[in-house]
Amino acid sequence: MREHDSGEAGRKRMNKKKLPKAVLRTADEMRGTAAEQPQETPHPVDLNEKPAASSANQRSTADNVIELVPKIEPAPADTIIVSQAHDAAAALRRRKAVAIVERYANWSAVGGAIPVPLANAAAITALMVRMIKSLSTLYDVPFEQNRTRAAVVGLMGGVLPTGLATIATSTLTYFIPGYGMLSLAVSSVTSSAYARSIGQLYIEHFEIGATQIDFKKIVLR
Amino acid sequence: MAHSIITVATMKGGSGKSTLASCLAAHWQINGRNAAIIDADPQRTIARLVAREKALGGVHVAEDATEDAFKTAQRLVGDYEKVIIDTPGFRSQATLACLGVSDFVLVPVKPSPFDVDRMLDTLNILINGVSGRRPVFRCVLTQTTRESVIAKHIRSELAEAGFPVLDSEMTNRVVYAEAALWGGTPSLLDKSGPAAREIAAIADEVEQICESMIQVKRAASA
Repeated sequence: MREHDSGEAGRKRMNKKKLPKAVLRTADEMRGTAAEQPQETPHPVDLNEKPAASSANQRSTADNVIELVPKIEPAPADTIIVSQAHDAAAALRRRKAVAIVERYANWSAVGGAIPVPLANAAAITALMVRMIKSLSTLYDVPFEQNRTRAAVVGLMGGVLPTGLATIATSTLTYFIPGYGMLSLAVSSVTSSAYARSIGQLYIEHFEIGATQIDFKKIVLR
Repeated sequence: MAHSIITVATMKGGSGKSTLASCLAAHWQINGRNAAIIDADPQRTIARLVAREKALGGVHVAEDATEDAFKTAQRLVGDYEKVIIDTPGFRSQATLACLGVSDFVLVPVKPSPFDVDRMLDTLNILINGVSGRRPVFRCVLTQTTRESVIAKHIRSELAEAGFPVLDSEMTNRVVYAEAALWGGTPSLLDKSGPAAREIAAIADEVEQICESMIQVKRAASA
């Protein structure tokens, strides 16, 4: 049977355990450095002052010590504040833009319900031009009426081919007896929907910092 | 009996500063000495303790974690025989200022190389002087395991390196945490218990040192 060390003999062996040094500096070494470094003075207070390292503290770092934590320069507080303010302003501007589009979409619904053939299409075009003018003002983009009108017509007839066709079709149905009320409803809904579509396109366009001039590229795309 | 300011300081957190400060204050209060504590630690350990049932046995506690804590100590020492300052567990201007006005500094240290290393920074300040003064100090081992090899090892190493250590030490005991639940210390719960006896031994050593310092001052002035 295996015997285990226990009792007095075991404790004595334990107490004889050789331990490495725990106290790495002596009082004399500290006194020796006293003349080299200024005394601690509590005042005046300098909050930016870094603690004075003693010569003993400045002992060389062991070769096997690797600095694992990368030094990340924190963003200055004022930069963070400016960035947050910019984000908040952009969000507010977008909300205003969406409100403008919604308002003109509602007006387009009314314009689409005008029971006069072709006149309602002209009214909707005019409303959309005004909507884009409002958006241009909001995003501080130069507004050119002729170019905008051409873009709106192009969107309705080219980019969104069904747009003009639907409006034209619903307008033409006015001429068919008995279909008047139906065509009014169709024209009203489609006008509102296309106003929203064009408005959203312009919002996305202005949000990325583009101007009306290069909007043509989007239309062509 | 002369009045004195005793600062409990080390720049290592969790070394038992607040426990030691509260235990000494309660011990002196129980024994008829008028004791006060200045809680200069923003963690408010003593202030929280005194809010509990036993209220630290009636020890006066002044909460002042500002850089003017030393002024509070100077003001209170006229009215209280023992003014103990509990300092924060990090380097601060408040601690340096308190060390500058202290008659005696107790530096608690756990028997662990991490604590010893950081404590040496505190001793470096004390040895090299604060505001032109070199306060008398003693290290005191805290949270030790009775008869442990590491505690003996560190005690002997500190002595060999020329750092004065109190003979008495605070053994790690659950009674400190239990007493804190009541807002008290072991001396308030069981005056004759082993923890209370250890505290009494530390307090006696501190008093003897303070007395001998006063005698030396008197002899020097005479």
